[in-house]
Amino acid sequence: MSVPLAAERAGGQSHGRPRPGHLELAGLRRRYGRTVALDGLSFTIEPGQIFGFLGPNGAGKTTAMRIVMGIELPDEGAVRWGGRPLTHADRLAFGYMPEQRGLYPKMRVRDHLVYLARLHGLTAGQAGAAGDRWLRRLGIGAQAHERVEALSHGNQQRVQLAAALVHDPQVLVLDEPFSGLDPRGIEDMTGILRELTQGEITVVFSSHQLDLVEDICEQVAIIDRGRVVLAGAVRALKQRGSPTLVLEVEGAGSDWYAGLPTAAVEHTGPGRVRVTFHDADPHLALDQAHAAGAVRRFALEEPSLSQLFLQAVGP
Amino acid sequence: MSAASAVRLVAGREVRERGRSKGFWVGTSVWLLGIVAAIVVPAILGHHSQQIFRVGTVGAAPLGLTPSVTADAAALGGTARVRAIGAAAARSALDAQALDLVIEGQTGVLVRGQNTDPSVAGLAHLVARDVAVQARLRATGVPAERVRSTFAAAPVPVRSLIPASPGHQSSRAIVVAGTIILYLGLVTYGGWVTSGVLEEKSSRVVEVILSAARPRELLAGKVIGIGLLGLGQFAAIALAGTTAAIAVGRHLPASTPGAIGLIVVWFLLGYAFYCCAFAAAGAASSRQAEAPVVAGPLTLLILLGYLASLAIQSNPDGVLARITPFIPPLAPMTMPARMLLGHAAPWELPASAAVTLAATYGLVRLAGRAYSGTILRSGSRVPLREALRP
Repeated sequence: MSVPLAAERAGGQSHGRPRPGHLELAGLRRRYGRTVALDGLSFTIEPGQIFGFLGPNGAGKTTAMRIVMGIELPDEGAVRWGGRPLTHADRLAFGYMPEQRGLYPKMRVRDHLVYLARLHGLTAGQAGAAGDRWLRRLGIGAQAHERVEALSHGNQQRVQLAAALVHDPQVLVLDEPFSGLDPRGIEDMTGILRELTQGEITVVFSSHQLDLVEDICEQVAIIDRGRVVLAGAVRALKQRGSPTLVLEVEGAGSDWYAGLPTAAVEHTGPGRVRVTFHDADPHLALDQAHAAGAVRRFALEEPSLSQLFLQAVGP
Repeated sequence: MSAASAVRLVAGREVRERGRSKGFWVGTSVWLLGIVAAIVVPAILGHHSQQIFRVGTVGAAPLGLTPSVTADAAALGGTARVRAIGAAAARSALDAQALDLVIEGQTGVLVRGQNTDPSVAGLAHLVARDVAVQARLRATGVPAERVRSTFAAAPVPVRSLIPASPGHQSSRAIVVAGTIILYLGLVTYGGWVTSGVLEEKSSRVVEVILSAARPRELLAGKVIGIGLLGLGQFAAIALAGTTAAIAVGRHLPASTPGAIGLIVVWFLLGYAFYCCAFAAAGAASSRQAEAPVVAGPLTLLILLGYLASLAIQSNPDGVLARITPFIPPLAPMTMPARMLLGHAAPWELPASAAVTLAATYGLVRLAGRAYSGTILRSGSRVPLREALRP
């Protein structure tokens, strides 16, 4: 099994004595007939963080999350929490929002939340109070006694999130929470997740939109074809990756960058060109551009997560 | 959270949500109205059990004819109202159903012919014979007064070798009604289970539920919840039926509660046998339109049980009555009829129940596995063989 360096580093943290609350996916394998969904997937999530579980569609994210939630069983491997195998009882402290959203369409919103809270072990009194609290917090208190199917799409999404939160879980597992949200919805969701992690909740969410979520999560595991290709703190990953040099120059022709390792050249206006470099000496490039024309923009940009991903999986 | 409390929560939701729905109350009302109507309406229509025969006489009625017609009518359990009428008027009255039969002097007796009541036909034959015999007696010189008094005599009683006891009649009525309710109940509640499971699957809520409860807890809660609602409906129907029967003055033997209890027990056994299979049918379907097709073999089996029960009702000690109570899919429909109408040996009831329970255990395990294996699989319908793969 060959795991890229970054993944080994991330996994390496858990090989000592795991701190309580660490959620560890260890060597998960799962096949459906001939299709391999998970191919030895391993990574560790530290408590109290927002963890992004990223990768293209079909990479195995949903399968992994379903295994974490006990809805599917792995062919091999295990999920551990605080160093012990995760049990059904442990999972009652987990909240889950599946990729395929779904609630009982005919049930009333508050009744639905109370029911789910009770399934997670809350008493009737606790469940009622928690339902009311989350309805208020998510701004759907007025809809408490309406049927789920009568709500707008956006409010149904809120109920779905409330359904994952109503029992005040310690770990929140969200499968593609941003899909189907408008920019406002994404902002709301991000705000809620940030707020939650203040209170020591661990949030794990999956997304195929790597660049959309890179500002939201502290740690990520990026997977492809059922295995981790990149893992670690977003900051560290970006700093480790080579920065991209961008120069935008006006009235300079094309000779000045001929000898430099260009990644992309883009005409942005009459006589104006934007050139992106990989591994070019910034001083040299700037000097040459300056000599040839008017420099309109000079930037050293950190690589985006999707660029890092593409670099890691190769062409 | 223990498995038992998860099952209780799921069952509680099922009872609450379904019990609140309009459909449930409409269905229950239809059931109750149906059973009450089935008992009350015949009682009202058949209330005048004293049948009145309207008899017309054409021409000079011989002395002694009226008392003998009255005696004949009494022998048939009714009374006669005899009046003289003209020949043409008699025919049109008969045609208009204002008269039941017309005595045309000594020449004959006229009835409508089409749609003639069997007891009217019987009366016509008695009267025709009386008319002939009276004419002969008078011809031989017997005084008219003697003829009259002779023919006014009450007939000797007709007795039955094997009397049809009112108790037996009532058990038969209970079996007939009970079997229909059993059949409709199993099909209805089975259908609820199928569509309820499919609703959870197609709305995708099942994934959220299964992150907190195990599949078998969800399955058990669902079938128990629907079973409880069904049992409640069943009890309400039995209560309404019994109350209506008492209200209209039907004779209910002391064995009635036992008979109803027996049917309820077999309803529960039948529901237990079929419910998980109905759930598996829902889990294997992908669309509401598909569910009845997938559940088709189950409803067909229940229908077979019903047909077998009908055969047993007419021959409660026949071959079918002896065999089908030991075929688990049919037993819930056939055993009550065999028990209540036939001469079942004491061992038959426990043996049939034991066979049914053993088969139920096996089927529940199999269907539970199929349910768990397919409930999360979206897309097309899941083939049976694949569903059962461990």
